[in-house]
Amino acid sequence: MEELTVETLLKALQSSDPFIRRDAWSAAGAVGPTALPALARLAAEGELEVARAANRAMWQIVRYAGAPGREMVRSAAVTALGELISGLPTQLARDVLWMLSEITQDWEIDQAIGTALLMNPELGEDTRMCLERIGGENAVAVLQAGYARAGGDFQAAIACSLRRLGQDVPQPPCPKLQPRKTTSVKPVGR
Amino acid sequence: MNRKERDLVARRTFLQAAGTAAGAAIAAPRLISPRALASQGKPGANERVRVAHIGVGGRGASLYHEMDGLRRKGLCEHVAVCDVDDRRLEAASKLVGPQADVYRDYRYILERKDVDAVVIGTPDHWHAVQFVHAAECGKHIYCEKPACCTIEEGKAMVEAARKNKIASQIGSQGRSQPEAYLAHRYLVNGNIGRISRVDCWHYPSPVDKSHTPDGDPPPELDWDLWLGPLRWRPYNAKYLHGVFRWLLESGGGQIRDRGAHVMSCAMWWMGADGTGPVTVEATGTPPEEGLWDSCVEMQVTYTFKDPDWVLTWNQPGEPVPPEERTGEEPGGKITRPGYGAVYRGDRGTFHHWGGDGGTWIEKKAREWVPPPGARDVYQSPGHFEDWFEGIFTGKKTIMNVEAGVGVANLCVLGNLAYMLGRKLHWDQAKQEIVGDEEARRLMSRPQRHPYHL
Repeated sequence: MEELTVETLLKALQSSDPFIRRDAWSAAGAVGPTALPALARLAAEGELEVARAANRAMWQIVRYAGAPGREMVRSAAVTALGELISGLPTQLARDVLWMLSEITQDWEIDQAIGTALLMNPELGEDTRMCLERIGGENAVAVLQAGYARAGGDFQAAIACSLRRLGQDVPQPPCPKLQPRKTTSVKPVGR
Repeated sequence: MNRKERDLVARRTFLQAAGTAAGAAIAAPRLISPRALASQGKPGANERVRVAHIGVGGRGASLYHEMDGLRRKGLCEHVAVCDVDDRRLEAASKLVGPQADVYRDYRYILERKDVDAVVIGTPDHWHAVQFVHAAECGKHIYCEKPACCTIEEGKAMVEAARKNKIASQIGSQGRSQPEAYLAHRYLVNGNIGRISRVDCWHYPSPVDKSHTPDGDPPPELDWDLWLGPLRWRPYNAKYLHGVFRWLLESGGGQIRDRGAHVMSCAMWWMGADGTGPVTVEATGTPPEEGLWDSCVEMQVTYTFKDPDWVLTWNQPGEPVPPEERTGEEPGGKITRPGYGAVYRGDRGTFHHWGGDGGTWIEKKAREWVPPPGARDVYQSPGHFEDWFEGIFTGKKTIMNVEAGVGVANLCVLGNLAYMLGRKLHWDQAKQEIVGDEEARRLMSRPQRHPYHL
């Protein structure tokens, strides 16, 4: 396949031929972060298989950017992804959070934005997990801010993340071993 | 080895080794004192192991049937079954009988003091969490392979098993097949010389051409519990029982499924348990469409040092037709002709097919008669039987969690090298990927609350 540009990548991803789409997203990494906004639109609005291909192209760019020695590309990808989140459908926004979790440096976390995402009812749990993966001082500060504001089970979830990151959080205890869900099935023959 | 000797290999069980009449509904073997067993929180010698099954559809149902052979020998009883799919749970209850309690949430089982052991037959993404939780509750564990989906999960499993002193067995049962013993003995006695390369091969993965959109889960399924540790995603009929295998985040494709069999045999026969590669390189061809994202075709190279050897995974590679069987051999038929490995030594080659319950090997190894002074190797009495020996005696099982995690790590690293499109450097002593921050982060995957380690 000849070297892709943003335009040729987008065109190939919308091909009716699944092999052309597959080859396009597989080679998307080197196209770079400038393609991310257009790919996100395609992933949000495209036909099912086109949207999947666009989503996979975004992941390829993230993994290309995360390779050792590509700091400029990585930083640009983080900026581009960060600017996308607020305008995306929920499931795609979650995907973008997980993309960020692979390549974001702790110092790049804006604590105010991070806390808002953590307290977002739709994105909070994914944000918690991604902060746990990044795991530096800023990530911990955001989790602590969320812990102070959250209640109930989500506070327990944040507490577990903070403990994994080495923080002393006595309460609430981790409920991971507490059974919660019952079945209506009865033992046959009893 | 003649027919009689082969049958002896096949029939030898730890019951017979312990001098106990096989098939009699009597006590477990008295290998250590009942008081010692009881004081260690293990079943006393006059007790049957009280087993609960977590995940009872698909492979989980097969595990129940295999385990039932030990119940018929009076060694255990099935006290509970658990599944997040009510239809599967009902079917399991009919199978097991009214004495077994039924649960949707496995944690009800873990809080029961009268359950000695659990058999985990859930999808791969649940293995590590349920293993660690069960170990923390003092249960002995049989866990279906692959052991784990991430490096971090594997570390947690090993630590939990050690800390809680439980007996564990990972379900790479190929090691326990009679042919695996014969192959191991043949290779360690230098019949093909020094082995410098093992090439595994396997047929390609399927492609999902259904164009199935996300939707609502069926009423019998608890989708939240099915996903468990995975990040939330909407239900999709192509991401469920069985077919989860074809998604990287859950099943990991053929390499994590069958790789956990073929490479398990390779690590065992090469004496490489506890070791790991120094580099991992991978290329692959993803599906052209559909939800599934694991490789259709794949090539992975693992380079080991001190001793130097190379292990490769080739999908499809160069399949070797299995030697014809007469039907007189243990096992009776070739159940897994579609995958295997070629061992390349400086004095010849050796072929192995399958690697699970359908393990099969070349005739020259099956018929090799050890000369006086030949080195013998451990012969498993059967995969479940070997686990029970571990429960009763504290001995290390043939596919203990350390070995199981070591093999799973190969599969995990192969997929990571493919996903990232670059060579990975692995520090076996530290159990870490080095020199690549993104890859290092992907050694773990934070889990959804409260289904986490």
